[in-house]
Amino acid sequence: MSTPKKSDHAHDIGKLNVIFGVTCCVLVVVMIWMVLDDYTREWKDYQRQFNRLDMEKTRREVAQARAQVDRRKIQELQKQRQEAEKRIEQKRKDYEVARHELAKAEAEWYEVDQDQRFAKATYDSLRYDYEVAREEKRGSAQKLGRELAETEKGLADLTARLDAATARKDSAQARVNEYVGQIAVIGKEMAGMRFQQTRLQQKVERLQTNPVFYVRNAPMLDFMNPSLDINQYILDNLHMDINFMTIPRVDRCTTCHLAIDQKGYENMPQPFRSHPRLDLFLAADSPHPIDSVGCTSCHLGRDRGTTFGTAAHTPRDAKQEEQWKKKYHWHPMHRWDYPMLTLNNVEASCYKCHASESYVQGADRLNTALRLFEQSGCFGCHKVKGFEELRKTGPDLKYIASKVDKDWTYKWIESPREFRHTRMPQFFHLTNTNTPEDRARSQVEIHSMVEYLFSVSERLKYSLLKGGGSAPRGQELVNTLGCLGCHVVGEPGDNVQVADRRLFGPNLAGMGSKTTREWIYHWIKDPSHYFSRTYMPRLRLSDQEALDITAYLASLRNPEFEKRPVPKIDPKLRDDVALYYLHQHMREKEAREELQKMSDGDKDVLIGQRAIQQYGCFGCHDIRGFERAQSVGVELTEEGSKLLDRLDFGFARIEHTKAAWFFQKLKDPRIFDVGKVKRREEKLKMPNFHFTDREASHLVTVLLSFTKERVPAEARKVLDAREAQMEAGRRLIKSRNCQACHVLENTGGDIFATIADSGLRPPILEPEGEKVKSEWLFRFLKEPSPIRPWLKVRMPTFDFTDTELNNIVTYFASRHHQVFPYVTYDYRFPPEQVAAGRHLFTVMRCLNCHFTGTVPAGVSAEDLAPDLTMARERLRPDWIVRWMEDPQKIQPGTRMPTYYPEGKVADQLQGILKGDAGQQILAMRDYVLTLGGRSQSVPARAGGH
Amino acid sequence: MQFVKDLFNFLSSPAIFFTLVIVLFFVALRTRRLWTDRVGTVALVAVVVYFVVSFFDPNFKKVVTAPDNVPIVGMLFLIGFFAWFSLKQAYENDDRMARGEPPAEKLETDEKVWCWPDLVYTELIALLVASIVLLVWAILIEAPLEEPASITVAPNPSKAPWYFLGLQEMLVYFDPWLAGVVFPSLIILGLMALPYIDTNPKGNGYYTFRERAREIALFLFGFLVLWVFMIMTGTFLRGPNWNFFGPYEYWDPHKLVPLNNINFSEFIWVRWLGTGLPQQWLAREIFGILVVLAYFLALPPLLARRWLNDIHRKMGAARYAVGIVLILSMIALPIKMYLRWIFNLKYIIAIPEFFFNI
Repeated sequence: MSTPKKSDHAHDIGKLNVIFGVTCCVLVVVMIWMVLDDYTREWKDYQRQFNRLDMEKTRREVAQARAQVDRRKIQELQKQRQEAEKRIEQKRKDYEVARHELAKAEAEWYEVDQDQRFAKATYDSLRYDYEVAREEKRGSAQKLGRELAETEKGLADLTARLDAATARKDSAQARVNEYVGQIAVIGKEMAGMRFQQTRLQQKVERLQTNPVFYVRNAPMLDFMNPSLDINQYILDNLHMDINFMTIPRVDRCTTCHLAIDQKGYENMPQPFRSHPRLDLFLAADSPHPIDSVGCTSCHLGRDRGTTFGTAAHTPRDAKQEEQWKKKYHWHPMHRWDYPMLTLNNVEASCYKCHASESYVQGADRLNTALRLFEQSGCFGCHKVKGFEELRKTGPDLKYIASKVDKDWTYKWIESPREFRHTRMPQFFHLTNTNTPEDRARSQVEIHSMVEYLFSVSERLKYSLLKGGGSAPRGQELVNTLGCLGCHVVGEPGDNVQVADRRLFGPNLAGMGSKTTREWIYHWIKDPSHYFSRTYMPRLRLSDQEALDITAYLASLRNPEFEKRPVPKIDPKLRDDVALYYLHQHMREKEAREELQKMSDGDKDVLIGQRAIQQYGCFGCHDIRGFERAQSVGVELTEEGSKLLDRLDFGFARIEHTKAAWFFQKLKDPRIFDVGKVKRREEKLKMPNFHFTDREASHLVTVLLSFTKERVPAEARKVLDAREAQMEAGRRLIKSRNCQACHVLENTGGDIFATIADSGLRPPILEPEGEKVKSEWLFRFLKEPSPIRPWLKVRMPTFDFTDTELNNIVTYFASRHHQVFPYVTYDYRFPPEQVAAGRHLFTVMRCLNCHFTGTVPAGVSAEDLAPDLTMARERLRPDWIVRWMEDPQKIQPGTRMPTYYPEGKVADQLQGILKGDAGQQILAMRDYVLTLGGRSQSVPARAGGH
Repeated sequence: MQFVKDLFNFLSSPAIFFTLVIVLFFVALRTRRLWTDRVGTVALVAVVVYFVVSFFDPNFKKVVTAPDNVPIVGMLFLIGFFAWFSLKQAYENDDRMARGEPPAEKLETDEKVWCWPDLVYTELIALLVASIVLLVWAILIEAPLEEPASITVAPNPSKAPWYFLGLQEMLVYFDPWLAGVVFPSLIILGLMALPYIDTNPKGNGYYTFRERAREIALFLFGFLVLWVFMIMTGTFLRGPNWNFFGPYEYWDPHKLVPLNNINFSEFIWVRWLGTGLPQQWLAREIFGILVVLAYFLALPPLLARRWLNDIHRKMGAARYAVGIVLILSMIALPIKMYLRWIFNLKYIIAIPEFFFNI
């Protein structure tokens, strides 16, 4: 191409050349920048850093392994090897000959072996041809048949030659081994001793950054076989909903959390630390192995993210947020709906797979939180799948007029916490209804609600009590009978945990200000007369006990509350409110006419009914007239998956996260109305439960656990047959608060805090199913009778139905792997064995603690043990044997002595039954089982022990 | 400071801003003195300073630096530059020609330039520069990906791609079939028809304003005011729920703006005649139909006879008819916008029975 003359051009070509050159250079630089920008990844730095740390760690382990190797043994082996080598050296010539022979034999063998294999292949192919030809009756069949026979002969020939060659080779090898065999054995032994060291050494070599490492991981070359690579687990069972389809989770967390599923990295800096609960999570032998459960199914966050930010990490508090902003330039992940759960909420994720269980083992926070959710009656107003069958939390108000008066009810509804600590929330005079006008109107509504409740209430006739009781005695009874398992008197102190089982029943403070002596007396004698579905059991109180307790409870008063006046209602305002409610359903003129016709009582009933409807009181209480009312709150079944922009933050200046919103809502449910101009009916209605910070944060965990994530059945927790049998009983145990007094499944015994003497505490029921007979347990639960008469705390009568009793008995049997219901107890009473047992019984002085029939006097409760006459009816014979063998194994810390430590028999017992521990135990069991006698039954005594 | 911000927020409310832009546009187009290097530089500096100062406002910064909006900011500068540059050259040429000199383009080269290197070389360099810009942009600003699409959750505001924001803005004022189908088709057809309607040979190969003042004004009005300005509005001033937000206002999704619009038929029957609406759609909408027919059928001959006599003569009936319908369609947009702002007028013709609304 000829270059035109300069003068012909519109531009200065020289200048264009320069511009072109410069842009080319810039482009090259930008391209390099692009490649480097693409190459530089946060996770590569982490992997390099981990390699370094891991290498240091492994080197230390190599040194350790080396130190552990028995050096003397190695030296000895080395010396042996040298000697063996010396021996070979002496017979050098013979050795050389042998090796030469071996080489020759090997060469020969190789040739024959190859021939044989070729012949075999030809034979196989010919055989196939022959089979086909014969089957299809081709003319060539005969010829092929002959050929096949020949080949077979040739093959047999070759196989024979191969055998011979193999034999020659083996004998040549044996001759060589005569010289070097010993060396090989020594080498193998040494390698075995150094196995650990070698393995670790190899790991160090693998981790070393040599030139190969740099080539493998060089920019543009790293597509082939890089050693720095993204690690991922594809979880086919756990899906993410991306609206139009679901996709498997692909967890890349292990790209940086490189040792999360391995033991031994507990002290590494993050992100290289081992998971703190490898027994439960990630490890291959744990219930949640990493390759099927992954990470984000529990922790949430963005599964495919490979940077700190795009994995949607969530800081636990403002301080950490500041740190992260500095260190990682952290900011909330752009438009990611499910950021990682903070550690205190991570147990929320258990629920999506374990919802079928009444509680999740190991998820203490979630269990506590769910209990609080139930105790607080959240499900009364908010529909939640799985909570539909629960009983309403509050008492039935059918007979309210027989229990309390109108003034008390008014003041109680207005502000329950001024009376005492309670789960009953406050509906009025809250953040968004605190102006004088609002308060006046609220007062009208409360007044009318009380009128309504009393207008639909039935009255029970209580006869006047005969005689009084002693309040101090009553207090003593309340403190010792076990009332404190479910009730607290006065403000619960700091030692009461969140959702403590002792908060199960109402607080007893102020009982005297609340109700009458007659009501208390009849209630504690038989609670179900007043509230048929109450969980309050009977304690089989004698009349005097009931009178004493009544006297005590009636003496608990709240004078300040009593003094508070009940405001007078302005009739004009009541008319306004009534008109307002009427106006909702009719035109104003009709409403006014209607109002004219109404009496004051009618107005109260109208307002009260509408107010109860509006606030949803029937969510927790059975109220006549609201049997079919729909719950008033928003459904919470998928609340944890609610998108952030569906939550109205109003003008509240809080962090814009779901957890923060939930927390704020629980702490002050009306806060999001602040700053808004709203009419009364538009205002938020959720009442204030006065949750503590800890309680609120627990409930946040619960809310986050209710997600729309549908885990496929095969990934969910499936109850096996035994667990399924236990489940119904477990639910009962939870709903009746058994664990308030008894330790079951290693939790419970909350009442222990109130009983200093460990001998007076309710029994730990850990091995109960293994220990007692199912039929006895059934009878006992139906009609409890004392087993440890020295205990002041009393097992109540729950009036379980037969179905419920069976569920509980099944629970205990299944829990401890016992057969239920029919069992053969195989035991005999050979008289000589019984006699030996009796002898042992005396020698061991069993009656020092145990007794037969009557409680020995002057023995401290701690040293007392159950009546042995009950053993026959109550205990499983094989359990007695296991118990005698090693009581500490069954109930660590028990005061029952171990008579046969590790099966050894004490010296003074050596003479009995040939000093055989097993025989002695059997003898004693047989003796104990004769104590009760066949006819002996436990007398059921009503009203005390 | 807050006062100034409030003032700007107030000025950028749609009716005021739009009016300001129209007035400024026509005044500026006719002001010779604006199209010089000095004024251009001052305007550039002023705009840059405005952006830099406004950057201190968090709301302004958030909207302007959103990865989606960065190219629109670039586009504003580019369009501003090219509009200024072409008009500057046009006015300079006009001055030259007034002095009897040939246009500047005539002096630059002779009749012929070389394809290589004059054209291809510069194109190659432009290609390299464009590659560099795109690469650097891609490295520095990550793709603005959004959350996974969902049938139940629409993003708020849900915005069209930036080049369609002008159309989306039109949707506020017109029925979707007009704003989404008819007008875009008319724009494309109109642009295709332009060379056949505008047969004025002046300005071929050189910039001039005086010789083509009406054509340039009309085109630039359509392009700058009705297209670019609307894109800018849609990008920077339309927030959640497609509400209008001033440049310094927080995009609060809870902001409420009353939208009580009524149809022309309601004006006539209910407001002025004081009766209810007729049941039959033709009777109900007859006035609206007459107005629209008058606009498109009676107005062109009237204009031809009275004010556009010379143009009508120069173009001939066919060209005039096509051209005037296109122009009237274009003008219909600002007319409808003003009717909405002043009278809350929803539709001139509203026949929901046939999904037909104008």
